[in-house]
Amino acid sequence: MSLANQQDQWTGNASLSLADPGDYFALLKPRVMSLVAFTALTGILIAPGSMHPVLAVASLLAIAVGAGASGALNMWYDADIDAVMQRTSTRPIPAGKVTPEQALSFGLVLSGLSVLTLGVVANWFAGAFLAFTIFFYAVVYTMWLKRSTPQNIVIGGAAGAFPPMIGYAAVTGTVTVESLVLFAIIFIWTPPHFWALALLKVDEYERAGVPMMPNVKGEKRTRIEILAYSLVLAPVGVLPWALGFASWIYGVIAIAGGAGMIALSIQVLRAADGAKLVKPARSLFFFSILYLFVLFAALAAGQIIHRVAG
Amino acid sequence: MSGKPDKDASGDGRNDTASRPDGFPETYVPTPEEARARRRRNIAIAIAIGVFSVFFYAITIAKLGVGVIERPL
Repeated sequence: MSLANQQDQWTGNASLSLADPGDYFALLKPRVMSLVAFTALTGILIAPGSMHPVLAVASLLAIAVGAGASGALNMWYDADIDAVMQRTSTRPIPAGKVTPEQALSFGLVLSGLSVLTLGVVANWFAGAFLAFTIFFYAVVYTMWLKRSTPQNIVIGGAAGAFPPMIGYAAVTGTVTVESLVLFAIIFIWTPPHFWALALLKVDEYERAGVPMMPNVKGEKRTRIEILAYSLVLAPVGVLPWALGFASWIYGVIAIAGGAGMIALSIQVLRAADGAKLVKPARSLFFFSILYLFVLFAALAAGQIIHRVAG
Repeated sequence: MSGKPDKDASGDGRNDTASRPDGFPETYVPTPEEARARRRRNIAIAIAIGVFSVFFYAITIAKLGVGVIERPL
């Protein structure tokens, strides 16, 4: 028991935490963590050379835990914003189940543990890369960009785009064009994905004081930028096939998916204001998740088939 | 220390200090709900430590490979 709790005990305010293990697990943002693990796995699979399966799984776990740790640090810092937004008000800190100090300790310990584990298991370049990613998400994005600029998720999106590069670096110990292409796909995918959500949650972001693009530059400008990013994303998504590290099947999927992103972005651009915008924006948001998942699944599946057949 | 209460904040007498000679409770007595939550956390920590130990054992074997049995005596 801490001194503070002992003091509380003497003054009659003693209490023990009511937090369940599930509350701590929720601090890790499990859905984000699973997406990170999935994209990192793709990075591991497309990397040339081989890695012992146990070490590959261990590296993947370390990357996933590192992502979870940065999620806990994000929840620690953003507890005030989370409390006023409906989507995040039930998170463990605003719900009163975990104190901010407990979340901070949890995030810091897991950050250190995940970085050291990846360094020992894979290599120290990958470990350092993971440390930088955690720093980028927790400090550069969460503490600096998120509350200060409508470009928050554009620049901050790099943190979500690094995991496949870390997976690739875990095998090779370096950065190559292939891993940079995987980074570029997620990096350019992030703005249309999050701005589609921001168009649906304008009031909530306004109330929380988060300067998202629709709140600062307006919905019209946001819709134009969504289309612009989708127009760049579509050809970038095809690059793995064009550069020869993905099959033609991937190429077909990427072309079709990119066309879908552009078509839905045009619908968002053309939709009337107000309630008419909800449906296309929601469609784009969910399609963008499917697009990224299918692209990375096709890349991973192609590599698995190539290795099994080869 | 000033400000010592006679009754604890829970109101159910679990941590009542009035009857104790030094005015302080010897130990804090958690509510049943707190005790259950603490037990669940303890079990989770035990499982995590167990998994972590097996995890690093497997990593060690995987990294050392046949070197494990080829060490000099």
